[in-house]
Amino acid sequence: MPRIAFNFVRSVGKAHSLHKYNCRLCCGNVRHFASQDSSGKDEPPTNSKSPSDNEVDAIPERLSPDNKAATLPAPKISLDLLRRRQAQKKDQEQVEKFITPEIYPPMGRRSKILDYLERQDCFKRRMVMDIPEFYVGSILAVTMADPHANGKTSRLVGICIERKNYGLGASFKLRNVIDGQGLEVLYELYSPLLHKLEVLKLEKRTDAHLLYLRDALPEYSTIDPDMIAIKHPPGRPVPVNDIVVKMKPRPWHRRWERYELKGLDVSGVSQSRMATVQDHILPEYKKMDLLMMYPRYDITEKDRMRIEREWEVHQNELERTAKKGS
Amino acid sequence: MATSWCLTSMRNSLLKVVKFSVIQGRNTQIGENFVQRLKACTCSHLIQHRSYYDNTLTSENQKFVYQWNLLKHQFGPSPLKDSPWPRQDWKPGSKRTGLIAVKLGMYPMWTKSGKKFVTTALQIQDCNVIRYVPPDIAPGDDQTGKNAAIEVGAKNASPLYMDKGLTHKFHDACVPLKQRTVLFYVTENSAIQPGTPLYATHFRPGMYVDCCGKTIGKGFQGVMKRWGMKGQPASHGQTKTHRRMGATGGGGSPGRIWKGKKMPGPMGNKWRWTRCLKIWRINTRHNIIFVEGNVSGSKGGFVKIKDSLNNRFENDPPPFPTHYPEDGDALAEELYDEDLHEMLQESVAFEEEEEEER
Repeated sequence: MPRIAFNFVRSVGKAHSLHKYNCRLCCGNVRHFASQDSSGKDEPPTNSKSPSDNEVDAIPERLSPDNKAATLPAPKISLDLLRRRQAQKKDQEQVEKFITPEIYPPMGRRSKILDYLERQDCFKRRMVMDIPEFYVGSILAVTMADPHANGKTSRLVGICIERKNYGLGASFKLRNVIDGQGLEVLYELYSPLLHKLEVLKLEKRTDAHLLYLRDALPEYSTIDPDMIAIKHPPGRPVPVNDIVVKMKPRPWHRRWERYELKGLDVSGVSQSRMATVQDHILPEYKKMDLLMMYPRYDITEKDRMRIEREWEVHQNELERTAKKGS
Repeated sequence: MATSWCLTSMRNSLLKVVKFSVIQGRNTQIGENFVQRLKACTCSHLIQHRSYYDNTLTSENQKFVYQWNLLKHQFGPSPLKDSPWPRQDWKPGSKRTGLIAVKLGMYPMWTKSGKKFVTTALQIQDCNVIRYVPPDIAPGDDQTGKNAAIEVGAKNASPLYMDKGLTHKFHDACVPLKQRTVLFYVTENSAIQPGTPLYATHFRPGMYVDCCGKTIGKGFQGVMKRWGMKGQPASHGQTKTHRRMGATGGGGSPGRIWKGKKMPGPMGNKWRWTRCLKIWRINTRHNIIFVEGNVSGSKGGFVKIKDSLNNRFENDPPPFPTHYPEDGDALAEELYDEDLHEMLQESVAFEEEEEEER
């Protein structure tokens, strides 16, 4: 059964306890740390939208060896891998292919065989139930088996505020305001109780998580339960919604001004509080420090390519079975 | 380790003195006796003689020597080359051998009713039977002389880090050197020929097992954490006494502290059994057993597994004395328990109850 939170959140110590969201779990295959890099680029990242740009190029560049901004020593990889990478780049020039974030294992001492088996189980479940592409900020409708509901299924519509965990334990939180009561439900992506996952509106946000919606005005979390799905044209990049949310008066569940979030309006916070914010944020030079990054990015290039290859094989398999069925 | 180093250096320096005198031609007979007595009294049996290779070799030769060291124990007369031992059937009261596994990590699973639970993945890496000890010789926990014993070895070891004195048993069994060996007490009818490989299919989904792993070490701990004693109040006149043991025992009679009195000391870092864990899934390709719940020990650490006492083997006897892959049909890559939801099955749905007719 899903865990339900009614706007009650335990306060977390430091802002950096949520740093894990800056890694891989927010926008799939995109690495957010590259967005802070300002040395090689004239254009500023995500927030400002010039009227000349028809397409919002909010997705930051990959940190590749030929990126002038960061000169890393060329990694030793085989020719085969190099060729595959070059081929991938050609594909990427059109549209960034979505690779689900929960197949990238977290850092730490882990068994590769176990991680592989978990990924295979995830792919097997995806053959039975369609798990579509979605991000934090997308609006979803989840149909789940419920022994106490009429018709034995319950449906919830909400905005995805968080995506967590690796493999079969991967979860996401849906938020909605129903009859004036804020409601958050945690769903496990690979639970056999989930029957259907519909994406009513596919979009991204400027932040890795939207937990601040608990302290924002309820209009930003209210979604119509009878909302009709807005189809996303295939081949188009996923739009980034850079809405800046207005907050309720303080006190908040967390000191959101310390979290470097782009999607909320901290203008109401007093000057004395804003002065302490710099103590809790890493300076720019530290964000680019490779030695600091290294323990977070435990996954080697070889392993990453292998995982992405597994995903490719799975996608091809899905297409094949879909064609057979139709 | 430090003691043995000191002993070696002491012994070597003394031997040099003796050898010098022997070369000089003085007191040869006394010199030889002295060497023998020196060997006896300096506990040379404690000094570890490691197998090592010469660093002056070329890299290719070093590689070859290393690989030779791994294989050299396997070229002897293998006990498996003898005629296979007769395999007896399971009967009530039989005890099978256990296995040694490596703890990989934890894995979530769901039952057919949609309930989530967590399992521990234990991988059987290079398990072999090292030797079989008949009942009359086997030490035995109960010392009744009724139980035989089987020594099982797991996880191939590097020859560079193994005590030479311990390698003889692997040489006799004609298997590679193992990192860990465990003695399991079995009944005579579950004898297995030394050298036989053991696989995860020794167990089956639905069986219950006991797992033994090393608990987390807590270091030197006080009596409240170690034994759960209540301590003393924080205030109301307590002088420097808040987390102490308190009383140690009776008065003049017995006039001493009983042996085994609970006191502060090292806590954790001990082998402990977790009993009656259900096996939900077995991967025959990678030899992984998925066992319900938690098992003591760190990832990559050793775990001893054996049959639990609450198994109902009368209805469904286990592979006895172990699973031999050459017998019978090849098993599927994944073996699941009947209550487990397999990922390729349909989503769990609850059926609508029919209204009772009044």
